[in-house]
Amino acid sequence: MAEVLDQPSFAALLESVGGDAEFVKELVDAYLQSTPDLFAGMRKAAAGGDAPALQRAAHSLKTGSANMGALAFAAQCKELEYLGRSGELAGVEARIDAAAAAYEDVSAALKACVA
Amino acid sequence: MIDIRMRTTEAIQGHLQVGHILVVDDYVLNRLQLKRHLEQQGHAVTLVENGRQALELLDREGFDLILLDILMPEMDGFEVLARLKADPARRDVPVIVISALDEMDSVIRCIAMGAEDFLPKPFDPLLLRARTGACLEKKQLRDQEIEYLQQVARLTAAAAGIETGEFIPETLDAVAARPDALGQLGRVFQRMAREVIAREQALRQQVQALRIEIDEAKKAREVAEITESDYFRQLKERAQALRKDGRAGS
Repeated sequence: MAEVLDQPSFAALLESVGGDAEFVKELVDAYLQSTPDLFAGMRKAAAGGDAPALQRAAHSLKTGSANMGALAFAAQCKELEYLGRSGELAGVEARIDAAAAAYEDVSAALKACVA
Repeated sequence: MIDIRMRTTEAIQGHLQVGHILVVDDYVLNRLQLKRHLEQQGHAVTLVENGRQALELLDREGFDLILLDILMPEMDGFEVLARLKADPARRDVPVIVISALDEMDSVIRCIAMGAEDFLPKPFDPLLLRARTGACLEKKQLRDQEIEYLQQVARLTAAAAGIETGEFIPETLDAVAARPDALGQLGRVFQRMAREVIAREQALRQQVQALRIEIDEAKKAREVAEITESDYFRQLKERAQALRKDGRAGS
């Protein structure tokens, strides 16, 4: 099973901001604060059959998660993004639930990293 | 590898252009990171969350470069790009589209629509620096070219103005202030035009003086024509005779 956070990716994030751990904490906080809204957006889009909205929210969550080093979770978001792009929304709620469960681990791992 | 990146950083820093950059992205994490990197590179940064906000802001404010996300609510990057490129006042502002590497079809579409370049997510600060720097440098060159062409147009308008007598030398002050060859041409043209105008004014004054002299001579001739005519002479003689008769009668 893939690790929740890819350490080299997280280290690259820290390096990209010149080793400024405070700023990385700010980024992690922004990610953790914005993610519930993105999940809410995906659920609303799935319920309303709004494929472009699902694509946008999943796309943001994919890039943000990859940025944080949550590569496995980002891959799940990428699948949701593709479903949104294709317009095939059948069964998408179950995939959102699975992603939400995976996110719990990501959230905990990130909080531990910046604690 | 690190050594290569350090040398690349130094090379880019040596030629870095700075400017006012508009970042258009609906995702807070992207906005935070771009703002941080761009400000560290010395740029002034303004952030908006979607295309509609970007266009509203562009109506009021000028920017040197736009970093534009593609997938956004309200108005996406494609529509923003289409509107910018259809507007003659804003079409020259360079646009770098922000995209994930798996969105190459969208990137290609944006570049075909007139985007200058693209920036993959997650952001590499060095690549961001290189691409923003190259775009700003190109924009600066383009701005200089536009200014140059505008000043050449002023010179040609001045030449036409000399022919119609409507030239005002001060209209060439900005051209004449340039330190380059066009500035030298402007200065020489301005000086020669001033000399031409001064000569024209002197000639006009001479012509005016000649006109006055001609008018006076004409008047004298007309008077002479009347006073030297037989009719005038007869009138004069009759007047003298009348004066004489009058004196004899009294």
